[in-house]
Amino acid sequence: MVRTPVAMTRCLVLAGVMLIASGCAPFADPQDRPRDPAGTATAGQGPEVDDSGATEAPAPPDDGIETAAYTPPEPEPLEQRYPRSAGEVSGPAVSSLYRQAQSEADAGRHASAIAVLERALRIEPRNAFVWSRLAEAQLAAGDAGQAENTALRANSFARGNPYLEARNWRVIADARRSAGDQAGARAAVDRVEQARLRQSGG
Amino acid sequence: MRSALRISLLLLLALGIAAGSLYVLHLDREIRERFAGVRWAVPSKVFAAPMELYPGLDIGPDALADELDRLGYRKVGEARNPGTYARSGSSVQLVSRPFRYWDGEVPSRRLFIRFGGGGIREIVEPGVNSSHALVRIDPLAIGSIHAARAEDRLLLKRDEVPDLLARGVILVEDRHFYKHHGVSIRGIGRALVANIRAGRVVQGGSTITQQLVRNFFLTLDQNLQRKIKEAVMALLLELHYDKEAILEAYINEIFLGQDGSRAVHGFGLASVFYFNKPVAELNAAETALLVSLAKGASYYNPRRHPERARERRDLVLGIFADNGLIDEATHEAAVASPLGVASGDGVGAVRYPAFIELVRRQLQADYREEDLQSEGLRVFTTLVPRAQAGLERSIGGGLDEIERGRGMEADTLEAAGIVARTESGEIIALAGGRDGRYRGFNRALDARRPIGSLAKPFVYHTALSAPERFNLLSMLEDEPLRIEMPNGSIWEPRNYDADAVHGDVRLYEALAKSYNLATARLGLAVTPEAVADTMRRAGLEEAPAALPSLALGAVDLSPLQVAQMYATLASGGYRYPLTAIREVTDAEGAPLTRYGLRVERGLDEGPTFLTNWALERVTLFGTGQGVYRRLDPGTRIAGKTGTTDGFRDAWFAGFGSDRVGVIWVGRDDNKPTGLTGASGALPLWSATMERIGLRSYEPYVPESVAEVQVDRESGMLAGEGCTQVIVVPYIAEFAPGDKAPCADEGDAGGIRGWFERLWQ
Repeated sequence: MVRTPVAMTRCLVLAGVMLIASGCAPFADPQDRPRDPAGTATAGQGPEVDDSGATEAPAPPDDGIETAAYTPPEPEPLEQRYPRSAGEVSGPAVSSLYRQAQSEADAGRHASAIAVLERALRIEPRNAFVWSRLAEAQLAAGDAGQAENTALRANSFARGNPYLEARNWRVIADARRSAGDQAGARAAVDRVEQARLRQSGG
Repeated sequence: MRSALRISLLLLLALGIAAGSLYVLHLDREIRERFAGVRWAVPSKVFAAPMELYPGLDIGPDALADELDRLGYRKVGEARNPGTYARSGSSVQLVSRPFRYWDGEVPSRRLFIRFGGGGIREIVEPGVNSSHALVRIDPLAIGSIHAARAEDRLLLKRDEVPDLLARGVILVEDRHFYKHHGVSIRGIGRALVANIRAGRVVQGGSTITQQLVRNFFLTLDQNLQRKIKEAVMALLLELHYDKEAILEAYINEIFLGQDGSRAVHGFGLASVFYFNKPVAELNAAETALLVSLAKGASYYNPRRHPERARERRDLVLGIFADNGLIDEATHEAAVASPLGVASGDGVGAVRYPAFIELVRRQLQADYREEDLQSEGLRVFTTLVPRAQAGLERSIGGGLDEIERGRGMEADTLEAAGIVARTESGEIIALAGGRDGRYRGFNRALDARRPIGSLAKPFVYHTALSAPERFNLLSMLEDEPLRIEMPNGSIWEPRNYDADAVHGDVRLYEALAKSYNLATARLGLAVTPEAVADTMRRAGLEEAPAALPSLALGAVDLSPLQVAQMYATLASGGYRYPLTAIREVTDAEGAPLTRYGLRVERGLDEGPTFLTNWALERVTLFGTGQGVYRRLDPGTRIAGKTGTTDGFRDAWFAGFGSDRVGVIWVGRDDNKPTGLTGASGALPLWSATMERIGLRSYEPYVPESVAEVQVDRESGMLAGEGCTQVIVVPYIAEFAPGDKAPCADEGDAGGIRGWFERLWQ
């Protein structure tokens, strides 16, 4: 159910508009927005997500879950385009810091690169490229344990981007190897290969 | 006989001279040792996080002006000098102050900030071609780390002292400073005449050198011996050191005010303490006031005795003008201006004692207490002053409102609160009690209270981590239970609404509505040991005692510990140790320690995603709906209320995508308040988040989770033909496999239905 009477009205209006304009798209999932796990974000979220079935059905119990008619799954897009560089997804402030971190790292000043990347994350906390770069910088600085954890966190922000996943798993493989975990390193290398295959396929 | 007397007299004289010489030599050594490398014990300086400005930042000109006001920037018609800004329509022009950050010195910059599209559009600096991508504004000094009673100062080098201040001090305190040799007979006479003429003390007889000696070496008792010692030492000091070194020492040493247990010494700190800005930005009137205080900082205290202080300031301004230090126009304007002292709430003093206390404790892991108190370290913290102000105002206002609304005795409730960033664990605001200026008991760190229902998410997380047994739609029994505890006592939990029993309930619903009986049973099903371990992995230093009652919050934790546990939920299960410090440098700005971002694997991502999905239902239809009285209904929020036995503690913990916050409300004497988490703590939490701003909770779906359309009625897999479908996340391998009845009906026309008919 929607959350408030105001939101409900808004939702009804939106539902009508959206039915005509673009149909329902509960799984529309633009790259820069997180997925809406249960279609619950209808109210007050603006016109990009809607749930046209909810208004026709008899009122379900008020338990905070949107009820709708079944929606056949959309076919996976044949070719999903993933960004390859930080510049494609970052604002100017983060782009500038990212470049600065790069030149610090090139000069071997890894601690400084890490500080700059953390500053970038304070501005864009979910920027997957910055997370991956941070993991690489931590590995270069000799902090393998932290690099592995950061790379794992980076994976959750990569959202399937095979270019980033390959980089993150590479960091994890190296970190595990340096910690003496050969089996773990091999598993990570497998993930690098899987991500690479998806790069050529996509 | 006469010759014998003469000899003994001569002998005595010789002895006297020898003793006198020895005494002078002793004083001389004392002076040189003390003065050699004039080294004051300087407490560490603590700074808030600097504001970062960049195109796209979601801030308007009004909010930026507020921030600049907070930093002591002066609003002027045309910004020319560091520490000033000007407003015009949709742009702000400012001249930033130079500042030594952890990663180096940033010079003063003249910046034009243009707004558009709901935020900053561009940041232009004259002479620089392209728009700045990112600029930092010098951070607020929020306090210092010092001993229980201590002197504090902000050291100035001689060339950092503005000319008017230096010449003004000399003129008023010791106008023959550059001519005498430490002691001035003429000065004493002149002061006497001036004082008699004025009918009161307007000039002191002591030279600056004598005053310095007095401050350095002597006690306050007035007697002839001390006077002689002072004079001798002053002469010796002048023998060894030049006038500029003596003046610099004086400017840093002189007592200029008292801030609680901290004594304000020197013009550098006094400028910040009284005017919230560096000495370089003082105008004539402000300079005159500080110079006035050298005569008697308590007597002329501008906060306590504003009229007295103003009279003295105007007198000093007159001396400035008579001697050509300022022109007549400046003099008139200065005399007409108000004292302009920043509010007595200790601007420049320890503004945020509760936060500073956390900083001090975190520093103790790496630094010795005496070094923190004496080495003048520069500590760069995570505090966001705007967020801190929002938290303090929400707590103060919220408690007032509750007390008034419920006819409670005023000022009986207490509270604590913490707000942190999710993907870093940086604490941006912390309140240790109702009064943000209070330096005593820090409830955010030290009050350990039972957490009540705030424990429940960790019970459900434990269950959802066993996906072969539990998912969000699993049926739980909300039925009475009776357990004999190891110590023989009987544990018989009740629901919040006393005798209510809800029968069969869905797992997520039991959490959203905070059903005690269902949760207690679930805790037993997954074992208290497993629940305790989940809490440990969420961030407790050690697992709590694994009692059945743990499921309902039978564990005493501080708000900070609770914040850590919820921060781990908020960050998808990754644990970022909550921190208050980013960097520490030495007094000269050389980096000492950096406290970088640490990520630890706390809780598994999949079960955390599922738990948070249920916690969102707390604010949608459960006990936390009240958050939307203040916050926009489009903002998704995951949170949990907590209430303990007899209504002694009210809790709310919750998060969006960028911030996690915890509020506790209760009484110091642990008496019942009659408040629940929803009525006591939640209003303060949502008021805080309304002021600070909270981004909608929008997690990315982890790899291990599948969002599945299921039939609401049966909880089975939905298909074509089902009209009552809900989308529920599952651990992917354990998503429902069987189709709901409605799906079969609908499927009859599909390809699968065709196959099925074929085989029937």
